[in-house]
Amino acid sequence: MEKQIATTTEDQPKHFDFISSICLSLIALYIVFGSIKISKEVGGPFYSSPGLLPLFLGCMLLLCSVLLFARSLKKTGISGNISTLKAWFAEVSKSKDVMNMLIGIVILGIFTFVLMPTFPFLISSFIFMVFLMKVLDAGSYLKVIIISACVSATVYTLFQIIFKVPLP
Amino acid sequence: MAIQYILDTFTQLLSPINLLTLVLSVFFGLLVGVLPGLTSTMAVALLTGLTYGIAPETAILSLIGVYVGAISGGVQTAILLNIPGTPAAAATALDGYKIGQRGEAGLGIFLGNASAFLGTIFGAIAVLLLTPLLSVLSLKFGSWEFFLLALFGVIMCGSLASGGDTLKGWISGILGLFVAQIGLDALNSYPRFSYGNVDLMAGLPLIPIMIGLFGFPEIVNSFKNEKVKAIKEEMTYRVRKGISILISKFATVIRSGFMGVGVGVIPGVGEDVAGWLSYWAARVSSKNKEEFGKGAYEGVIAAETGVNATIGGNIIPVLTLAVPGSTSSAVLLAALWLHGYRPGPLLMTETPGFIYTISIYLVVSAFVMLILGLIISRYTVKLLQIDKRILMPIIFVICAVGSFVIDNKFFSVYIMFIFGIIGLLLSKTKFPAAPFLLGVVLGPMADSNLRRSLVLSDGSLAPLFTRPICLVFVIIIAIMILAQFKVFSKLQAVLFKKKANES
Repeated sequence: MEKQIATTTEDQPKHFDFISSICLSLIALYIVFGSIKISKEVGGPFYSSPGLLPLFLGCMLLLCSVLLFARSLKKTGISGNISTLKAWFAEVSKSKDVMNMLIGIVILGIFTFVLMPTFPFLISSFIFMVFLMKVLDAGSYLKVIIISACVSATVYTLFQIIFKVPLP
Repeated sequence: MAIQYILDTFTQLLSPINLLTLVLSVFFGLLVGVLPGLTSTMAVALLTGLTYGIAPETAILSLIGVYVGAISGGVQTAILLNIPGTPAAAATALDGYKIGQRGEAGLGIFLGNASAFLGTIFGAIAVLLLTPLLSVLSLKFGSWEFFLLALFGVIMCGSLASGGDTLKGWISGILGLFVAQIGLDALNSYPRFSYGNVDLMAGLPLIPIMIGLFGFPEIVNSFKNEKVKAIKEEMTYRVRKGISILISKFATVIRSGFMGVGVGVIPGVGEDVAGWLSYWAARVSSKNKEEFGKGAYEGVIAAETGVNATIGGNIIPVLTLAVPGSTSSAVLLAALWLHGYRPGPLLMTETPGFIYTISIYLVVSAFVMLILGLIISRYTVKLLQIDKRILMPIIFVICAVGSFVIDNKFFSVYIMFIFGIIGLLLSKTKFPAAPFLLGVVLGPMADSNLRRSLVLSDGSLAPLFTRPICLVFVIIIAIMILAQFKVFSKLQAVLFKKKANES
């Protein structure tokens, strides 16, 4: 089942093109309107405005997104793309791989946004590595604790003591 | 006289303290290059402070050594983990990682190190021979040329890193260029897309973006439950095979060497541009274009030779004009001043032997780098055999540290995470990350030079067609874009049809 999903997502990028071209078009429109707003706020000749290059980039992005959108509709059309997307989403929401990846991302996020700013590096990195390695079932507690402690100490020694680079 | 200078330099080099300094500084440089987030600029800057108070020739030797080591060190993690140790190694990762995944990481690292060695030697020869000529050419680059160079870089990278889907490559490049526009603009200091956030006003830091784009997807993909087949790594470098590959691709080495030196001489254009440019040229002229991006040896050879040839190229304007070719060489220039040297037009009259000294330092540093690089990789290559469930949490900690040490701000770590998510989305939707990164690198250069040029020409675009270098760039860019729309093949078909009808 897992393999089937992987194959489905790998072999059918058309519906990805369909959805990504819509998202990119929205981003492009945001860039275009943002750039026009910047140019109006700054005033002066348009060619020296800070909004010039962003406007150019926004227009180029919009053009490329429209081309991508048109390309994604070539064989399947809008309804075909939507039904493929629905089927893909239904499969993916049941996938264990995707769940594992999402849990992993959440743990990485907790380390980045909570542990690192709260605790000193030696403690935060140790807690993070022990936790993530256990979630990934990398080995016994003893093994995981020894590896995490060694890595935290080595990184600390290398950066903080040898290179004199301050760590959080 | 030249022979006397060369002999004097070798006499200096043979002193035990200088030999030890050389080995230690190259090793330090390699270590910095291997660790993602630590750059050659940082390495040279860190060492400059430590060299204060020691003999000038020893100090300069150590700085050249660390510069060469740091630029070359990035190849190891690029091949083993798909995380370029330095931005310059991003082009190497494109094929190098695939070579590593094939179980030929040892051979890949040998090719990378040997190409880096050849590139550095090429740069050293250029310092000696081409200094006056290339300096004159680089002075002809104005704002228009710099803007077009940036545009050309992104279009070129979008075409070659997209795996056949150029449209996606260009979209990725445009997104990267846009990300570089966030923050205060260089001419009016207007905060663009900053929403009143002070950190955003300072612009987004490059290194955390690079680490996020390339490292994060690898880490997250390893969380999958599937049993990944262990990669059987050959621990031997297969030196003979490596050398025969290098000999068969010697034209690539020479071409990339020239490109690296050429790019290095142009102020403000870093090693990463040279890597991409050399890679592009290798792909365009290769008979096996389809192999690029899938583990082509030539890709690694071209990128590493080009990147390392820029070291010599960067030093040329430092010595002759006191204008640095890159940020690393800007720090080197400051170090030269610190140790009593006066780079610039007077250097050749005040210290005529200095140019020979620098060239020889580059050559010996390259030799030491080659040997140490191969010794180090005996240990780094074993990374592939470590269980990914243990390795990846460790890698993420190093990525976070690498992002934090750039400016000691948590903001940079947050940026690494956010761009990691973007990198993951890009990889899942088959958009290449490399043009995105190059867009971020070249974005500020494109913006400031475009507007400066337009201000100077009162908004006129005429200089694009009246300046010779600009015209060459415009023609190349137009060809690259039109080629994607198959204009030329259609034109060819129409012409041949006409001829056939006539006959």
